[in-house]
Amino acid sequence: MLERIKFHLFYVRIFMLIIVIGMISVMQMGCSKTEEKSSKTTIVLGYYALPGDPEKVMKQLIADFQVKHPDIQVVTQVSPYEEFFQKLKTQVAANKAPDVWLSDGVFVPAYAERGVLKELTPWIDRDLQRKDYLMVESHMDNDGKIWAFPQGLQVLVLYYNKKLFDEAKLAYPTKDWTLDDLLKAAKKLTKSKKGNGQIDQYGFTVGLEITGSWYPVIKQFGGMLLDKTLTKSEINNPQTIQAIQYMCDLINKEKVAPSLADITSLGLSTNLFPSQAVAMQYGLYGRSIAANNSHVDYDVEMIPKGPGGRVVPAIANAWVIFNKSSPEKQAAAWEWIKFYSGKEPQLTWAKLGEAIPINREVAYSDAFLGIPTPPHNRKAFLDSLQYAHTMDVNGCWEEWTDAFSAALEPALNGKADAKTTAALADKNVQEVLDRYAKERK
Amino acid sequence: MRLSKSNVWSSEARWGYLMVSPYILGMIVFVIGPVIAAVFISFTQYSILAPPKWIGLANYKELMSDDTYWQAFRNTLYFTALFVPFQTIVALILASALKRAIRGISWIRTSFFIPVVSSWVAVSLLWYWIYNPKFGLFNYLLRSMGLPALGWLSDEKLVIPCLVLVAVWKGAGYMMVILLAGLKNIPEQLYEAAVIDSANKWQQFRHVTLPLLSPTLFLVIIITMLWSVNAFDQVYVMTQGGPNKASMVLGLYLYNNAFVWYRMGYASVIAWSMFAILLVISGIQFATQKRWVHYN
Repeated sequence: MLERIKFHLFYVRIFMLIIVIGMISVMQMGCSKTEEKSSKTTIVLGYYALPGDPEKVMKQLIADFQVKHPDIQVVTQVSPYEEFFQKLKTQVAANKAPDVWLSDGVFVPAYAERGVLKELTPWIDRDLQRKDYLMVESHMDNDGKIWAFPQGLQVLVLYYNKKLFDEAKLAYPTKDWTLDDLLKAAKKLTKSKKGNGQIDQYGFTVGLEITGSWYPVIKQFGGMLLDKTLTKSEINNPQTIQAIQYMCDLINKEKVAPSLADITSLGLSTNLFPSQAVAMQYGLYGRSIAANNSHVDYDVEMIPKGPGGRVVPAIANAWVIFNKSSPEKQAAAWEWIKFYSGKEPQLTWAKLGEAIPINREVAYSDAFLGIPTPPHNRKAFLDSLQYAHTMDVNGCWEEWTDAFSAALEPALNGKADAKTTAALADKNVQEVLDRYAKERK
Repeated sequence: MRLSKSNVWSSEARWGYLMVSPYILGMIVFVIGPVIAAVFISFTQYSILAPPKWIGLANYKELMSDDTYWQAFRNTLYFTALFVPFQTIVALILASALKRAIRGISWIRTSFFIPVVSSWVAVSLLWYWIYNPKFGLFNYLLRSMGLPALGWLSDEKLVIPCLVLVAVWKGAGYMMVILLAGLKNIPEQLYEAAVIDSANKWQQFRHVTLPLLSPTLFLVIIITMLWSVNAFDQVYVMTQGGPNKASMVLGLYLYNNAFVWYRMGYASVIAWSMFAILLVISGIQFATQKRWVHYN
C-alpha cells in the first residue's frame, strides 16, 4: 500500500514539475514579448560564411548596425554553406525561417516563385537609387518585381597562370582574345613536365561545371539553353551543338583539357588552377581565394569572345526577406539590407576579397580595384559586367542544369556525339521544365 | 501465459512503462510520425517551400517510366548482390580466424573494428586517394608490375565493385563481432565429438559450425542487406552517382529529389519503393530460412 502511495506521489511530483516549468516558460515568453513591444524589434539574420575573417567582419558589421539602429536587435544564425541551405528548407517548411537571410543568387527564384520571399521593389524605389548599385535587377522576374537585393557579385573571368605563360614564352591573354586564341595558347601550354609522355599540365579545362564551363562556352558560340520565359528548352540548336563539339574536341581531339576522369583524379575542377595542373581556367571572383592561398602567380582577363560574341555568367548573391515575418520585422530587415549596401559597410566587406562589392562607388574605387593581393586586373570583373548574364536561373534551375550535365557527360567522355547529346539534353531539360510548370499551376 | 488485467497495471508494470516511455515517445515522434507523413506526402507535390498539393497517384506513375530510377534500382540490386555475400564471407573468415584465444587477440579484433567506428567521410576520402588513377596506391602497384593503370571510380564497370570493396572494408568488422559471439556459443563438445568421428576441419565447419551459426548468419545477412539497399554516404562522398549514373543508387536518387530538386513527394515514393524492395527480399529470406537456419 505504502509503495502504491509513493508511486502516486512520484507521478504528482512530475506533474507539478511540468506545470511549474510551463508557467515559467509562459511568463518568460510574455516578458520578452512585452519587452520587444516596448523597446526593440528583434530580427533573426541568417547567413553562410567561412569561419575566420568573413564571420568576424560580419559580426562587426552587425554590431555597427545595432549602434546605428538601437531599436533593432539582431540575432544571427550562421552555418557553413551546405548546412545553411539544408536547414533553411526545413525552417521554411516550419514557418521558422530567419527574417532576413543571405541567399546564393541561383536559389532566389526557387524561393521567390514558391511564395517564400517578400517583394522588395517598392522599398528599393522608395529608399534607394537603382543606378547606385550593381546588378540590382538581377533578381527581377518577368513582371518587373525584384525579390532580392544583391549582397556581393560573382562574375566569370579567365584566370591564367603568369609563370606558365612566361615559361612557354607566350603573351598574356588580352580582352580582345577569341576562342581561337585560347585554343592556340592552350596547345602550347599543354605538356608533360616530367618528360615521360604523360601530360601533367593542361592548357585549359572544361567539364560538367555549369558556371565555369558549359554555360559560358555555349553562350560564346551564340547557343541557346532556355527561351526568354525560362519555360522552354532551346538546347537543340546548331550553335549549342557546335559548342558541345568544341568542348568535346578540347578534351578528346586536341587533348588540351583534362578528361573528366583526370579532373577527378586531380582533385575536382576547383583544385586544377591552384595546383597548377591547368594554365587557364574560367572562374568566378571567389576562385581567387584558393589561388591566393596556394600562392599561384596569376592574373585575370575577360573571357574570350566566341563566334556568338561574349556572354559572361554572373551571380548576385543576395539578401532576401521572409514573406511570413511580421511587417515590423520585415521593415527592420530592410533597414539591415540598406545599411549593408551603404558605402562604409561595403568598404569593410570589400577588404575581405570574397566578392565584388555591389555599391557602385565602392566597386569602382581603389577600395576594391586597389586591393594589394592578386588578381591585379580586378577591372576585368567590372568590365565584364556589361556582358553579364544570370544563367537562365529559374525555380527548377538546379534540376534542369543537372539534367543537362547528365546528358553532356557521355559526350565529354567521347561516348556520344554532339548532335545526339543536344537532342537528349533538350528532351530531358524540357521534361523538368514541364513538370515544374505543372507544379506552379 | 496471458497476463491478468491487474498484472498489466501493477505497480511494477507501470514502472516498466515509465522506463520505456522515452523510447516509445521517440519512436512515435521520429519514426511512426514521419512514416505516416511519408504516405501522405507520396500522394502530393511538395517542394518543402510551399504547402503540399494533392496529385493522387501521379508520383507513382512517374516512377514507373523514370529511366534514372530504374537505373538506380538496378545499381542498388547489383551493389546488394555483391556486398551481402562478400561482406558475410569476409566477416565469417575474420571471425573464425580471430576466435582463438591467443596473446593480443583483443588488439587484433579491435584493429578490424576501427573502420566501423570511423566516419564515412573519412573512410571515403582515404579510399578516394587509394583509387586515384594518377597518384593512387592501386595504380602504383599495377604500374610497378608493368600493368596498365585503371580508372577505378571513373570506369562505369568498375565503380560499383570498387564501392563494395570500401563498404566491406568498413562494415566487415561489425559483422565479425556478431559472428564471433555466435561462434563462441557453439559448445566445444560438439567439435570434440566430431573429431572422435574423424571429421576433418572442413567437415567440422560444414556440419557443426555452419548449422549452429545459421541463426547468427541469418541476422548478419538481414542487417547487411538493409545497409546495402540504404547505401548513401559513401556514394555521395566518393562518386555522386557517377560516372554517367553508373553508381547512382536509390538512396542518393532519393536525396537529390528531396533536398536538391525540391521534390519531396516523389522522394517519398522512392522511399516507399525501397521499403517494398526490403520487404520482398526479407520476405524471401524469412520464407526460405527453414531450409538452412537451425534454431536448436
